[in-house]
Amino acid sequence: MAAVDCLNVKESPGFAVGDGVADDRAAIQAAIDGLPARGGVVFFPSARYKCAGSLTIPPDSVKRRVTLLGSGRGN
Amino acid sequence: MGGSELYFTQTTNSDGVVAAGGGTPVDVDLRDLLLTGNLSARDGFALTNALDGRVTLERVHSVGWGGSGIKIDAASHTLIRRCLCKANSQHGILLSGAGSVHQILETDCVGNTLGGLTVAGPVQLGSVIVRGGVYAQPNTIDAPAISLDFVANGCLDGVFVEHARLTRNAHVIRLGASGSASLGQRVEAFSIRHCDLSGSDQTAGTGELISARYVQSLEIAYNRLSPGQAVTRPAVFEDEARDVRWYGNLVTTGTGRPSVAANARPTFRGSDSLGAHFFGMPFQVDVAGPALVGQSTSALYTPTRGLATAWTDTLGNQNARWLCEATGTLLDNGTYDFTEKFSGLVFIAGTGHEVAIYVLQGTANAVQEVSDPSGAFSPILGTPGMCNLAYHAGTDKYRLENKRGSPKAYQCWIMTR
Repeated sequence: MAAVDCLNVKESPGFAVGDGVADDRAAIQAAIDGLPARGGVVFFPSARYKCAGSLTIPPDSVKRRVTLLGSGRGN
Repeated sequence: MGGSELYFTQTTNSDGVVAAGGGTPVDVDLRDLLLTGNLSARDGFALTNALDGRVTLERVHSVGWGGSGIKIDAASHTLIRRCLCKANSQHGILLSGAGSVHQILETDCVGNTLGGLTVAGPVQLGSVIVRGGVYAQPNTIDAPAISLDFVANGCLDGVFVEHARLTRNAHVIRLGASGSASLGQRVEAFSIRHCDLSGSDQTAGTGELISARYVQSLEIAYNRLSPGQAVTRPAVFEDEARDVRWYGNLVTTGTGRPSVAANARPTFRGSDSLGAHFFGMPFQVDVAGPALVGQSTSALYTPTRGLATAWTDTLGNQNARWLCEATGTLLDNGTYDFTEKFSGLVFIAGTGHEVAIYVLQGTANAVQEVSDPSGAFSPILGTPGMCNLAYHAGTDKYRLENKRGSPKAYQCWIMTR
């Protein structure tokens, strides 16, 4: 299956929970890593995503373009 | 929940979004995210590490980090727009390393402990544009709104700051004015225009609102400044400040209605400052000897009391003035007292052919009519049917009096010293 340019963190491959309690770091990183080599968008639906560690944007040699796109400011 | 929040809980030496890992990322784009960190995090940054090219941060909220809200190294073509970098333990935005073409637009960097926007060395930066936004640090008044902290030789050129609010700081803008700034660390082609740099709200702290060292081609124009309580001058330039242009700035006392402060002059210290230009402002040069305090030679316009729009032109010499008073309409039996007991010539222009020339004899309290071809003027107060110009003992002023029987418009041009 061809990699898609836009991934929803709550969907495959990471399935983030977004409840502000569960650690979604691995899920978000999986979405970033799941983008194709040409890059793409990781979309964050409105929710609170807890990260218990850093998120790493890969170098240009791995991903050409990485966008983390939210849906606006949280409350 | 009204949006997307990334909430980081690491507590020590961790960053939020790390743009790194065995190579240099290019084209990083973060939008519409709220990046919040655990307030106990230390040395952490919301976005950090080596980047190269086309970094876009738009509507990203980076709040409460132990480090800086946004830290970008060695990037180029950075666009930070409409972001909030607030209440971080270091800087709101920290640009470091070599890079070029940064635009920071409409961004709010308030309440950060070490400063709003900091450009740190080693620096080989160019073309930094800051437009709009707020960079005040009300909680840490000694933290600059915008600063350049050089730690190694480098050059920052092509910086443009406009329409930004940078208030409540002891040093609002600090350009290499402290620490190890040296000849190898220069700021070139820096423009600060249309900004609010006033520090009048601060209650403590010392320093100049603008301090700069080793600058070339620096323009500071049309800004609002205030000396504040502890600041004695709006700006100090040290060591080889060359081609500094200072004009159109309003320096207020900070209380009540804006008024030009007596200590509004910028000051030059050190040596080899060349090509400073002032327009309508006082200045002070303090170079290895007695301070030279002067007045810029171009026209200075100072509002004075008058019927309408009286103004003063110094003619480039403090001992020669060309003033306009009594501009407006005098009602019948109306009077206008000149603001000073002038010693000089008065050209009175009424309507139509009614023009006259008078001599005012200063403290002698006497006038001489030189020319009145229309016969409409008189040097004796109370003369009916005439416009009278004479000394009035009651007010101890020279007085223009309309006894023509109807309202008349006049302008009095005064050549005096």
